[in-house]
Amino acid sequence: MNILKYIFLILALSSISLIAAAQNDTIFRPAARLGLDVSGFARQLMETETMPVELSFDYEWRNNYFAAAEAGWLNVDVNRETHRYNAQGYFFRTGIDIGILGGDVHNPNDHVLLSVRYGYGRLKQEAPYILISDTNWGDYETSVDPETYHAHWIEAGFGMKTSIWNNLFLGWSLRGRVRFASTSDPNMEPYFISGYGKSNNAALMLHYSIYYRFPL
Amino acid sequence: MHSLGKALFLFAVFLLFSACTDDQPCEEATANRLRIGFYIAGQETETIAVVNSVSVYALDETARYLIYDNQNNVSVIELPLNPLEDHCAFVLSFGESRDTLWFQYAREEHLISIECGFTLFFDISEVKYTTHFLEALVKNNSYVTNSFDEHIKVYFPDPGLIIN
Repeated sequence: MNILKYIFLILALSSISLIAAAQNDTIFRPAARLGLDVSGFARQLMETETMPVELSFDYEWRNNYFAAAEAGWLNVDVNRETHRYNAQGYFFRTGIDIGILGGDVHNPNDHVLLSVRYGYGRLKQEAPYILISDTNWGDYETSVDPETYHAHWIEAGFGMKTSIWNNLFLGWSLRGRVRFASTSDPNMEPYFISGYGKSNNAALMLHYSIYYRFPL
Repeated sequence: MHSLGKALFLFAVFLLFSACTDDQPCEEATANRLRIGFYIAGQETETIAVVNSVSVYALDETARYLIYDNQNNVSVIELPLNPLEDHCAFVLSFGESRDTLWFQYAREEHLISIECGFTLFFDISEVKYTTHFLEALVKNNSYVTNSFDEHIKVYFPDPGLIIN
């Protein structure tokens, strides 16, 4: 997959940059960070029918170990000539980030992180208008009533965060997700699962966030 | 932020936008047909029957629609089940002989994809038929989806057919 190739290249470059300045001794100062995932807004520019919003929180309880939680909601509104499809949902993820590079005394504001998460998403979806055309029999209009969908998944990935000004940070992370339990409806799999992405058994997604750090 | 960091973040933004444009236009068939195969009755091994000429009409309460018009050398037909009702009928005309097939089914809306929209799957519960020309009918797969399965096997007697 091309995107993976590029991301591994980024990680390799990051590693070279940060290893050069790595030091073992660090003065640890606990901190918490609140973030906004702006990749959802970028997605909305490219796919106007999908609007995910995501906030994140992490707390560094010991040097290079972060407890992390992410939550948000999703709105999908597809309006085509032959069908309408709507979905609204929310999600949360929780897990840890481990700093593998950076975060030391010389680069206290650069982190290369490995991430592990458990995720849960819930959404309500419906198709209030469906038009099925048949050249022999004519047009048939129908609909699918609102139904609730749940999904549980695990995910792992890596990324980096760096300070751009005082306590303001930018960061990206690439996550691979595997769904291990979900509501079964073979006739209407969700188009986009809140917090997970496109409705495949495995998904890969790039997140790009802006953070504010609260020194504690 | 040092210059390498800036470069990496810009690259990540580029990747982000690249990753957002992966949707494809609809290239899947959205109409699902009932597939009927023709066979010779009473054979030890299943033998395909090729019918010289067949016409097929779809019937509803007020009209009939021509599906096949004197088609030659036919061994498989594909019929559109009526999406407006839970039942429909077809007349199969083999020259002077005619048989009628009645189907009862449940309809299920199925989302193919956001680009393609919805289609109907059919779960056939009952099939009735006359035996003026055909000899027997067997349900092979009662679920009509976008797969290429054969759903019904129709068996004809030997005479009057060209056998492969």
